[in-house]
Amino acid sequence: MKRLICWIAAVFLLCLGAVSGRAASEVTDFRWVTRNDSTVPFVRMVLDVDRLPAIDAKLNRDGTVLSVELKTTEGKQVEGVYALNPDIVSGVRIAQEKRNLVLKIQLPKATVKEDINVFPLKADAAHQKPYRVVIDVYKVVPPPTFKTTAGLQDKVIVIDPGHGGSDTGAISAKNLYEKDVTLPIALYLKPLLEARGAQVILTREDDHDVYGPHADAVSELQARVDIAERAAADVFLSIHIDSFVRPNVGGVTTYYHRKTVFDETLAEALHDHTSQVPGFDDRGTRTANFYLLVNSTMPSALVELGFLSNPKEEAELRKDSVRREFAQQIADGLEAYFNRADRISR
Amino acid sequence: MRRSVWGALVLVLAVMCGAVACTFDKTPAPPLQQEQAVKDWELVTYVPADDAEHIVPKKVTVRAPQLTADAALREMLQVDAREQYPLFPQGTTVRSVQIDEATKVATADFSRELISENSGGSLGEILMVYIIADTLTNLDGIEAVRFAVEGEHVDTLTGHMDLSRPILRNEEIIVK
Repeated sequence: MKRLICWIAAVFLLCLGAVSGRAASEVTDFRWVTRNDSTVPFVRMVLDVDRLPAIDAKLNRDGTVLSVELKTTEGKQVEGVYALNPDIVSGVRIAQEKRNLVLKIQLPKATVKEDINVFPLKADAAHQKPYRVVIDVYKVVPPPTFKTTAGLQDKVIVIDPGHGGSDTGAISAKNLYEKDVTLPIALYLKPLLEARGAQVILTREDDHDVYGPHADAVSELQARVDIAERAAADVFLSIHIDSFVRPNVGGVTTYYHRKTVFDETLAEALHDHTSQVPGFDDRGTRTANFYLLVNSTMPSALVELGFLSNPKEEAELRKDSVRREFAQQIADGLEAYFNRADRISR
Repeated sequence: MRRSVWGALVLVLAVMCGAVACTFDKTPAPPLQQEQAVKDWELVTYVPADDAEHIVPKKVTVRAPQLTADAALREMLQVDAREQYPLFPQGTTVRSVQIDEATKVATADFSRELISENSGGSLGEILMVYIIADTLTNLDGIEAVRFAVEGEHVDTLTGHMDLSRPILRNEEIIVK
């Protein structure tokens, strides 16, 4: 009798094994991340599976729901509702629908097929990674609103005189403050641009903090970005004077961040002109992860017009004529930029 | 017979109580004198290049049982302090380095001088950020770096760079 029960149990287990072996792939994990390290941010969702199922992905007509079906797949460990990045993927519901595991992915803005990638990945024994199903959804980027036509006429230009108020910026050995050099250059620049038809907004017109005295640095920087965004600026330009521990280091540098196809062109056009001011070395154009450049949406640049730590350049930066010359060169550089941007846009 | 069983039980109980008492009485044994072998570790840190645009590798040997991330940053500050014009503000010290093993992001926490004594330029900020990031990412298990001062995350050092997201290694800035 005992033996019979053993046999029945063994056969039952074998059947169970056969059924489960033939039946379904199994999803063992679901995770997601927002990737900001690409030109356009995207959300990557990853499902770990014991073996790769057939996959079917469908986007609804208005582009707001992406359904991904993993055929003959079970996923008891991952079923549920998930909140993701509300800007890119507002939520995911994972549920069993008959033999398939279905992900209903809610998209906050109408998304097109080209902004979605669904693909399988093989197991990677070297890195102990199982089979995976990957779903990438790219952020919907609105078309640019900044103008790139030739000339300065009707262009909206936001000029940011670096630092100000409680934030002195760099201080020279002879007590010249960076904030007191950036402001006059911006004040000289404004009428030069207006005379050529541009609408100019300064983030500050006197010696004060833009966000508030002794605010944290990021609030202060974001307040300047906000001014450019609210004005829907065509160009955002921040004026700074650098400083370094070695007094012999000097020169003009123009920084940009490649977030539109125009940022580099803007930096080069500006630098072609600002580097002409006599008495300053030319340190070239460079990319940098600067807050103002990364977090603004329009073409932007940050100019470092010499070094307060360099005695020769500091003496030059005290001269009104040099400040006027920088303003003149920036105005010419901005006009050159719009002319080049116009050619690129065609 | 019965008496001897009871006797044995009492004996067992007594022995058990004794054993328990012993474990409580015992002063903790000194940890096993595991020989923490001191080794010579080779560390690559960086100083600003002559062009003040790039950074130059400096190999140093650290003699310690382990090469920790804290020790690597302390060594980085010492190497910098030996330069004719040190980049890091005077008085800057390393408080700690916490490593998130899942994301491989290290949070490097410095004393307040890193910001309060900083002379302010963006060039110095760029070089400091990448000297720290490139020194730490030379160590196993670190792929990106976040910055903190006095235990609080900071999103910028001198008001130019955006450090709100982890900073990845920068190979291009290293002199080839």
